[in-house]
Amino acid sequence: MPEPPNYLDPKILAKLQGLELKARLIVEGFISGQHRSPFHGFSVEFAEHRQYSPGDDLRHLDWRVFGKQDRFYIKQYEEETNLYAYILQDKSRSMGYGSSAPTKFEYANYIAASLAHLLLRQRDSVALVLFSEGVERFLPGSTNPAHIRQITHALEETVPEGKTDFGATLHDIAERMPRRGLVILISDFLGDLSDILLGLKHLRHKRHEIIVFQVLDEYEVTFPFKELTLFRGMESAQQLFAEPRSLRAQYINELNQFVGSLRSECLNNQSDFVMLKTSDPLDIALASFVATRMATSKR
Amino acid sequence: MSFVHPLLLIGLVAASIPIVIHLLNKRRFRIVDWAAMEFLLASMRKNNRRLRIEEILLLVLRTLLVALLAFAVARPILGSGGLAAFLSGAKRTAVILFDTSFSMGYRQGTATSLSRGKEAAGAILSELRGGDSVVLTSFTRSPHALIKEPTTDLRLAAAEIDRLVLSHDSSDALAALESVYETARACDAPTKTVYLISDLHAISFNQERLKDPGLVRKLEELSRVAELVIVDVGFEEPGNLAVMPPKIDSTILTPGSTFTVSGIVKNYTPSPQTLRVDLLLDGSTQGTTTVKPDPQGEASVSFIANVSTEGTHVVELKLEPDNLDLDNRSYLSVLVRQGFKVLLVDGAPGKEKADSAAFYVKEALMPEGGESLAAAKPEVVSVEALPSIVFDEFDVVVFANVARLPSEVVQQVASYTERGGSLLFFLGDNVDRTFYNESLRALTGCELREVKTETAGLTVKDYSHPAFRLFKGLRLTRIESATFKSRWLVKVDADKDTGSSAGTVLMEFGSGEAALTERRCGDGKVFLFTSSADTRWSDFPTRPAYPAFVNELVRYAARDPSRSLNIAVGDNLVARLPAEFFARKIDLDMPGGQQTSLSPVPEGNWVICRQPSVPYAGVYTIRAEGLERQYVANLPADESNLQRISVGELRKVLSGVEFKYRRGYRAEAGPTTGESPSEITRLLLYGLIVIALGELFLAQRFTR
Repeated sequence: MPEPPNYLDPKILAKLQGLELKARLIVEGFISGQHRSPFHGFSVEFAEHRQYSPGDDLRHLDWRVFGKQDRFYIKQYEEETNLYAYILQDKSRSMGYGSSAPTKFEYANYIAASLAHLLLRQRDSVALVLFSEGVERFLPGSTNPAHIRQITHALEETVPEGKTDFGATLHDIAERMPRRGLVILISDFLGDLSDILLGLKHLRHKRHEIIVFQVLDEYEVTFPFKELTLFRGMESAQQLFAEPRSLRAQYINELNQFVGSLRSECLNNQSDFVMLKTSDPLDIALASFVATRMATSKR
Repeated sequence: MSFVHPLLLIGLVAASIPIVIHLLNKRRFRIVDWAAMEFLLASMRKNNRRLRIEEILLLVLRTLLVALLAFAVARPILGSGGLAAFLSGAKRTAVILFDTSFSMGYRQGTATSLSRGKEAAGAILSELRGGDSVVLTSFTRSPHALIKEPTTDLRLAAAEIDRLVLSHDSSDALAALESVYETARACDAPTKTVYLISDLHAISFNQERLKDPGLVRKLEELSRVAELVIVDVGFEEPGNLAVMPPKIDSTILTPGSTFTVSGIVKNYTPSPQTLRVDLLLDGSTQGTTTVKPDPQGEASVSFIANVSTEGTHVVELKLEPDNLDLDNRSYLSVLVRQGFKVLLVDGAPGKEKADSAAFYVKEALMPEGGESLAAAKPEVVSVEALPSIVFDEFDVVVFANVARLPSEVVQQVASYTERGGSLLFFLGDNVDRTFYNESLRALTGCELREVKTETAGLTVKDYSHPAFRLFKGLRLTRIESATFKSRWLVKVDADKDTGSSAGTVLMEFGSGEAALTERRCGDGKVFLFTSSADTRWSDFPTRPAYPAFVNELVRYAARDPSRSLNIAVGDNLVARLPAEFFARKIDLDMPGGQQTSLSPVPEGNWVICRQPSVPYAGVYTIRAEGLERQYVANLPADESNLQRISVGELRKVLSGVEFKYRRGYRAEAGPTTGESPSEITRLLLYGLIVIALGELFLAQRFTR
């Protein structure tokens, strides 16, 4: 019997049409791979009692409390407490780079869509922000499962372009999100590190939980070029004519230093940091998210 | 430093290939739109200087690699002192002049002068070191450059020396030394040595040639620009016996003719010799005799021979073997014909046959109804018919009382005598003195003055002359019995160069006036008889001696048809053939079994076939459809005298020319110990490998 396709593999996903479908396949594939549902327990778990008022569903009456105290109390469950999630996705031109399918932007889309799908299944509120030099598009939060269509549609019709300006953008977003929630930031973070960190600190200051997904292409990490190459900046007019093999070691060193700094600053900022290559399976992203979410719920 | 294959140094151009590839690569690149540009620029900023140095280092290594490869292929050679010699540029050029004249074939035991010369040349080569160069010239009478430009390929020089063979020519060492003057002068080696390897044959150092101041100056200069070493490979007191080319007593041979073959056997030894001499006719022995030439003397030998068929025949004299065999044979090619043609130009035809000026000459040569005494075939023509006559078809042209000749005929007869034809002028009352003195004096060598009418007798000055040998001692047919009434008084011209008489007076009238003169013109002879050929001025034609006189004179005058058949080694073989041979294939069989084809070239009514500078002594046979003609080439006679020139004499002859004398030659140093070309090449190849590995290592390291 042929093995079913692994929809967590970005290369397989890249061949499919429709981001919503892809998101559903990712989530289902992720859940079916777990021994137990990571959501069971907190979404239906008892949270607190409140006094019965007429019109309440009698199925939620706590008969044990009535037997002891002769008062009607309604059980209130965790699932009823909505999480406000903000998915912030970089749509700058550098995100359009891809040595092979999918590009960084497409990969980020998979992450954003699948997380949105996962959250909406929990009836959490999911908002989407697409940004480059500033906020380019904003979908307000909603718990309606149909909201996934708006999210995927917005992602699908977006073309990566423009420069990234993390400083201004994150400050702007921090001010525009009134309720504290979970900020999911997806970008290649190829920009000024101090700007990025200032933006993250501002979000954290607003008491948001932050999970950072840095998406890089395989070639950006390994720099495998051999022939003489003219490198042209995707977000600048800079060019470099170079023998790549002679630069590889230093380049990788520079990149690792940057990623290391970003990672350590995120951790210092009590934010989660996940570095993903576009060739990595999507369950790494989801697992990271779940781990973060569970840690958050315990706080 | 020098190179075995210097032309291959052109491969050094290939050293530019890495640079060209580098530049081409700069034009061939891919373009990548890159997001992480900052990291790339940062790494570039930090590595720019290092990258440039690495790039230049790799480029230099690659260029050096290709240049070294081209260098190795050209096989560089360092001098004996290795690098020190290279740096100082010390090298040496040996110019070897090798005598290959036939005297170098002189043998004692198993050794010949030639083999000793080869040993000496080998010893000279063995003294040379890697980087030294050689020039090689063999010489006989003329030098022949075998290695013209200095070469460091000593193996090539050794092979050329090994291939040297004896020539059949004599030698001229002075010409050989002169020939390398320019080479030695132009050569830029700091040390130059000219080795003259020879048996020091005396004739090779012809003192007459040293009267040329230009030659002396060159030889003196040569000894200044180069060290001159004369290597004597000859044997002490070499004795030799030789036979000179045979001669026959008649130029006119007809089928069935009997003739005498004479020859000279020369004894160039200090002791008397008893020698057997064979006569061969067309390769078969016709007679054998023994001669006893004195020490350093000679002996004559003669044979009677007979030929029965027309065509060319080869007469050969052969001696028994001695230490130098080559000159123990000599050859003569003779042409046997049915007769020879005489053209009689009648200048005063009479009403009756007997009245014409040419009548008695014609009757003497071919009596009406009789046979020719001397196989002559006379043909009588008038002066008017001369312009249409082809003179080359006749062996003798006789003019009888001819007043004058058309100017074009004068030119024709002049060139006819140049080519060997003979003219016989009989004078008479018809003769135009002015014309003879102006137009024919250059041929006759005589000035006509006036007619003298006074009775006189005729006297022969020298009966040993071939034309009069027959009359010696005869009484009934005495020439002196004739009586002459009139004759032209002539003055025999003096020779322009020598001042002596241009012609020879063979007969005189009683009062001492010239009656018959003989003069050489080119290859032919011109005779002038100052009286008439008919009975107008004398009764000579009616005397019994007259027919014999005319026949003997005409026979003597007739050109030697065998003359062009006999040449010397080094001469050009020239065959004049009828025009119809132009379209035929003409082959030439050479001595030793070699064969070649000749290409006929038209010349007037003839075609000329030419084989330049025949190299060997022996018989050369020209073959074509309807033709077989044998030519012979003889050795230069003077080379057989092996008299050597002593060192003392040599120093006198070459006074002003510094030279070293070596009796034979033995290598002073052992075999070449310097680095051989291959060893240097091997070192370079090792260097190549090291550089190639270094380039690989660095390229890997730089791009890791």
